[in-house]
This record gives sequence, structure tokens and C-alpha cells, in this order.
Amino acid sequence: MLEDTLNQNHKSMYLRILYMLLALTVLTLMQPYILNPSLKTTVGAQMFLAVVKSILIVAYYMHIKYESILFKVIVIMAVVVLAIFFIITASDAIFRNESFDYFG
Amino acid sequence: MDEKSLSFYDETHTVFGHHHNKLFQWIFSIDHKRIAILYIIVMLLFFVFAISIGLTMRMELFFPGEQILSPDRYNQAFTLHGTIMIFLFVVPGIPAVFGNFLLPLLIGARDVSFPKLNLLSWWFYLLGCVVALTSLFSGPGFADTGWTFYAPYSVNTETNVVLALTAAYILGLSSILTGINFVVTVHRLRAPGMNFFKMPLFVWGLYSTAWIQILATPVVGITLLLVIIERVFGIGIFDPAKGGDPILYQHLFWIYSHPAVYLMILPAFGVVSEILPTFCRKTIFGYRSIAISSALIAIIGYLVWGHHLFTSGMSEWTKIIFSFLTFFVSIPTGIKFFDWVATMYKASIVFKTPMLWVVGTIITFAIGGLTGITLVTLGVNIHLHDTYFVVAHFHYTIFGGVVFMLFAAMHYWYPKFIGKMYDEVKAKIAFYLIFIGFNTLWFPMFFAGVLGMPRRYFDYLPEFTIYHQIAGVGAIITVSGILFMLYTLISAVKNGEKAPANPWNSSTLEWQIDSPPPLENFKNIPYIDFEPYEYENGAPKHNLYNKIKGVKDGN
Amino acid sequence: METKSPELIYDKDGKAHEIVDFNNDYTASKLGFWLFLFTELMLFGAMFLVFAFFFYKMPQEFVIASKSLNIYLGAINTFVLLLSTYYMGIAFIYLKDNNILKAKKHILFTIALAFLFLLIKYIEWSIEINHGIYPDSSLLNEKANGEILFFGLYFTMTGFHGIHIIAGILLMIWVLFLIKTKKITSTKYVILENVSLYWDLVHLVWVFLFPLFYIIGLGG
Repeated sequence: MLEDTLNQNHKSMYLRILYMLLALTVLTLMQPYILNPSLKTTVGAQMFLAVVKSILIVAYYMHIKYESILFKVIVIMAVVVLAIFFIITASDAIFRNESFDYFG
Repeated sequence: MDEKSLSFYDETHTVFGHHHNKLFQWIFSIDHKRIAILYIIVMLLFFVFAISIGLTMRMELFFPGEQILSPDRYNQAFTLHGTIMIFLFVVPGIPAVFGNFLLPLLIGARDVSFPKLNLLSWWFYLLGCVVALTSLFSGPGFADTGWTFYAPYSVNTETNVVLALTAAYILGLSSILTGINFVVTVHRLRAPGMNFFKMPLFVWGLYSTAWIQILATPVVGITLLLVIIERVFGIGIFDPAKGGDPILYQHLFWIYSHPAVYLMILPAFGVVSEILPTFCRKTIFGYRSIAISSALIAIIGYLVWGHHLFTSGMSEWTKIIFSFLTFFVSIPTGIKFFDWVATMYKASIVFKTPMLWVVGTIITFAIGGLTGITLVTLGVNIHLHDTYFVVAHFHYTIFGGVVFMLFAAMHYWYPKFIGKMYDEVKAKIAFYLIFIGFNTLWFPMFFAGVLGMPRRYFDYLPEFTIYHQIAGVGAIITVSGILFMLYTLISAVKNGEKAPANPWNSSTLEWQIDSPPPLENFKNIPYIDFEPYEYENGAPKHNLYNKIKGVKDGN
Repeated sequence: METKSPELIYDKDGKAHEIVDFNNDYTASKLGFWLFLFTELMLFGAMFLVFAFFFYKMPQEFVIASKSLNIYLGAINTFVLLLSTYYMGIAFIYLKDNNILKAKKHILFTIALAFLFLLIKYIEWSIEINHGIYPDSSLLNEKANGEILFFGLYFTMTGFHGIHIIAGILLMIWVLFLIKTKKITSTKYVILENVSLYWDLVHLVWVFLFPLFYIIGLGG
């Protein structure tokens, strides 16, 4: 029946996403050993991988891809608000003149 | 002959099933109208408590030197005054009382989307109040850190910081649940035909506020928890000796607390937008711009928190960014004010008490808002930070803005809540007492601040005495006015004249049902194919009372 | 039994419109729960903000501290949690398909994996604490500032995460009970859906926690 096929498709989608997430996790573990990266590169690459995983999880496992436009908008809105907090606080971290290293 | 129609006072839905006991029928009720009344009773009790602390502080400061409070007690007094006023009164404030009562009525719904969660919000609120009270009477007494609980002092002081922060955290949970309830209610339960730009402006205010409640409150929640963890476990994030940063605390605290002030004022602005068309007997000017400005204020409000910490040691670049962004928030606010004044222009105004409060608040909030612009100018801020100028500014905006509008709401919707009318003359006298007392109390403080009088100081140099004494007299007048106002409103519960469904001849949906409303608000929900505030020749264009009640039209 | 006929009102053209019944509103329950998830996003987000702030200031000390964490246990936990979210999702699909037995089995798998996660986390914490590393310990206070803060944040953030895992387990047990008493069925499943979303959020937090605490100490 149509429902069975739908659910079967659903299950195989879940499995495919699992494989992708597993692969990304393996990549996460291998990344620090590829081409001798600096700390900056590692952090950048790791955050990129985490964001890719998050998008897969939110879109498919949490069904946002299949929800109405309202859900999509509010998810993006919440992430944007959090990003704003990060960006402005970062400006203080980066541009403040004191250095903790001097105090040991 | 109609049977006597029952109001929500006569019957209710409860969360646990049926009770004979009247008290249980109230504290277990899931009716949004009863919950609103539960909130206002507790809130007003704490408001009166906090005012009396404020009055005590003013009496202590009437002369230089120690009068009735020791220095430590003074610190606890202003902490308690601020904590109660902010967390127990103004933040729940208009949304908890008028939002709860009116949101479903204004959109044509029978309740909010999650009535049981609504009751839980109130229970969390009550629990938070109890925990706060407990910290007053146990151990070394209430916190003495100021309501802002800045690290590292909040980490090191002996007073009951953990209890106070726990209370604030629980109150935050209450606020978050209300926010979730309101957003879902606005999206799901609007009457058919009512799209977003047909909603009354109070709903726009509540909706914008609800988003702030959801997205900003958790940040202060975790910040306060981190202070508790720092106190108990010493992890070091706010301790410079371990590499921690007290300024980071201030960032995290104000990331919530600045949006919190918009959370306070947006519903209040919504109240003004409701009251004005009614007493000007014409439609509001610039509906769309007022609606959008609510959303804009909420959005810009997330970007400006740093103006509370200009003198803390933040980087210069960050200060410039914050100052620049804060100037922008005055624009949508200004738009609202111009729209309101335009509504009043050439209107045939009825000057009943709610209208008096609205006009009063337009004056006092304008002063408060403009002095905020003064403060956010970087160079000037260095001189004025932590002086009485700031104290005057935030009392003009929060008291002269939010609380005045709360009083306006209390007078406007009183007949709807209670089904009676209060004494108009007494209410007007109370307004004038409070308005005069308020300005006497806080206007001198602008000057004291410019001359250098610091805030939260227990003592002062003799040259400041005159300002404190004028303020002291103002405090006495204000408190008298508030007590007289409360007396007027409370005595009318028993003695007031019975109120009709629409005593102000207003156009929105809550006035198209009985005063007080029946349990499920609308027997028949109307289809909304008209804009709010539609007036024709000074009277509302649409009269839906009969249709909603299911009574055959007489005419 | 369950389905009440919807309340209809009519506009000027005679078209019918349905009134939403707030006592039976699937979309409202899902929307409300997503809003709650946003509060969790902000809660953990603020903690990540604190981490980022200090990591930026004292990167090398954070790296040194990270090296002392056990990457094998951390990696196993990563796979355990990922697998558990897969099983939770499959359980939901089975429930909607009215395959109640398989749905319950997969929820039990999820619970088992969640317990395994907690056990491994407990072992990790024990290793640290037995080495004398815990907040405000004399050993930790001797170390560099960055290391003190790293471990302070490590215990705080994995602690909060662990509390959320425990809450998740309790929620799943409650869901099993609701399935047994037929309060959750193949047509009335929003509670299971919401718990499944919650579990995905708990996983999302770990997706960011793991690299920031464990991976930065790897490599040359």
C-alpha cells in the first residue's frame, strides 16, 4: 500500500542519512592527521563539519525539510539570533587590549 | 426572558477534575481569565512591598549620614527593591495579566493554545516568589549585590545569592512558558479571516514580546546558573585569578536584560495603541507602521546590550558598534509616538481616566526615551554612568512608561475584568497625585546625576541634600497616590456600578462580549473580514455582540 | 469516539471555515515544542559562547588540557549517541506504521544506548577525578589558567549535557508507558515525535561539544 511504501522510503532515507553522518564522524576523527593542520585550520574544519552534520540532522532527522514555511523561518531566526550574540561578543574578545598571558 | 448568563467567576475548568472548595477552583483553574487575576493579585502585593522598600530608601537618603538603615542593609534594600520590581512585577507585568486575559479575546479564541501550561506558568511564578521571600529570612539575609548580581562580588559575598538566583531562574521559566504559549496561540487560534495585519496592535506587542521571552530568557537563566556553579564549585569563568572574565558576566547578563526592557515596553506600547482609538473615537493612524515597529524594536533590541557596560573595560570598537546600533532603536519607537500623536490630532477626545494615563505616559516615556539617547552617547556616558541620571532615566521609562501603561490598562479593562465601574473622580485624583509625585521624585535626579551623585550610594556629600529632599517629598506623594488608586479600584469591586459590555464604546472583540466574560468567551466565533479600530462617525463600525452571543438581532 | 466534528463558521460568501480546537491541535504541540527547543539552543549556545571566548584567549592551554581527555571513550560515545538517534527515528516510523512491537523495541535500544553513553561518561569523569582533576582541586589550581577554565567548562557542559540525557531517558520510559496504555497510537503520536526531536537536540549539542573538547588536542 502507499503508506507502506512511504514508511519504507522514510526508513531508507533515515539509513542513508545515518551513513552520511557516520562518514562525517570518521572524517571528524581523521581531520587532525590530514596534511598537518594548524589549530586555526582544525577548528575551522571541525566547525564546518559540525555545521554540515547539524544541517542534515535538523533537515531530515528533525523533519524541518518537510515542515511548513513557518517552521523553517523560525529555526533560521533562532540560529541568527544566537549568531548575533556570538559575533558581537567576539568583537569584544578580539579587540580588547589586555592580554591574559601577561598574568601567567 | 434570558436565563441569567454565567460569567467566568461562576464556573471554570480545572486541571485535576472537580473541586467543591472555591480556593481550589481558583488555584487549579486553567481558564486564562482566572489565571490573569491570580497573577495580578500576587503582583500587586509584591509591588506594594517593593514600593515601601523604595520609600524606606528615600527616607534613609533624606539627610546625609545614617538614618534608619545601616550601609549593608541599604545594599540589601536596593537589591530587593530592584529584584522584586524587575523579576516579580514588571517582567511578568502586562503580558501575565492583560496578555493572559485579553489575547484570546482579541483574536476571537476561547483560550490559549496550552491552558494547563498557562497554569503551570503561574505556579512557577508563585514558587519563584516564595523562594525569593525565603532568602529574605534565612541566614545572612537577602543578596546585597544589586539586582544585576555582577561577578565577582556575587560570587564572593556571604549573603543569600544562591537563593535569589534560584528564584530568578524559576521566574524565568514562568516567563518562557508564557512566551511559548502566546506565540503558538497567535499562530493557531486567530479567528478565521484574521490575518496578521488584521490583529489588534496589543496582539502585535504581545507577539513580539513572546519571542523575546523565548529567545533571551534562557541566556540569563544559564548565566545565573553559572554564577551559582561558580560559587559552589569554583570553576573560574568569572574569576580573574583563574583567567576568568567579569566583563563576560556583564555581556551574558545584559544579553537578556536589555531585550528584557523591550519585553516590558512592547506590550505597554500595545496598550496605548488600544486605548487611543477608543477615546479618540477614530481609527489609529499608521496601523501598519506601528505593527512593524513592534517587530523592529524586538529585533534591534537584541543588538544593543553593551550600552550597559560602556565603562566596564570592553574594547573601543565594540563600544562604538553598540552606541551606533542603540541610536537606531529610537527610530521605530519614535514612529509609534508620531503615529499616536497623529491619532489624537483633530480627534474628539474623551478624557476618561485611561486616556489621562496614556497622555501622561506619552510625556514621561518621551522624557525617559530621550534621556536614554543622551546616555548612549559614548563620551557623555563616561560622565553619567552609574549616576542618578541613569536612575532617573530608567524610572522614567520603566515606571513612567511600563507601569503608567499598566495603570492605564488597569483602568481601561477594569469593567471587563470585574464587571463594575470604579469612581471616575477618585481615579482622576489618583492619577494627578501620582503624576505630580512621580515627576517631583525623579526629575531632580537628572540634575543630581549630572552634578555627580552616584547611584546605589548609602551616603552623599551635603551639596546633594536638596535633590534628595525634593525626591523624598515626591516619593511620599507618589506612594500616597498609588495607595489611593489601589483603594479606588479595590473598593469598586464591591461598591462599583455594574458595567455594560462596552462602556467605552470601543471597537475590538473583547468589548463585544459581556463584562465579565462567560467561561468560554465566545458562543459563536465571528468571521473577521474587517480591520481593527474601524470607526464611522465616532462610533465603532461593527457591532458583533448579538451575533457572538447567538441572540437574534432586535433591529 | 476520538474525532469530534469540527466547528465551522461561515463568511459573507457562505464559505465554511474551521475553528481550531486547542484541545486537539497537533501542529500547536509540535510548534510549541520547537519553541522549547529554541530555549535549549540558547542555553547551550550561551555556554558555547563562554567556551569560545576563553578558547580564543588561551588557545594553547586549551589544547594541552584537551590532550588529557580520552579520545577513544569520546569517539565511542559519539557513535553511541548517533546510533541512538537513528533508532529513535526508526521507532517513530514503526509507530506511525502501527508496528507497535517494533516501535517499542527500538525505543528500548535507544534507552540502552543512552545508558551506555552515561556509563562511558561516568568512567571518563572518574578517570579525571581520580587524577585529582575536578573544579577547584588543588592540583587543577596549580595549572595554567587556560587549563583550569577548560576543565571547569568540561565538567559544567558535559554535566548539563548528561542531565539532559537522563531527562531524555526518563521521557522515553514515560513514552513506553503511554504506548502501553494506548495514549500514544499510530494516529496520536505527537508526544513521541516531540521526545524524538528532544533527543535529536541532545545529539546536536554533542556534535559541537565533541570536536571542541576532544579533537582540538589531537594531531601534531
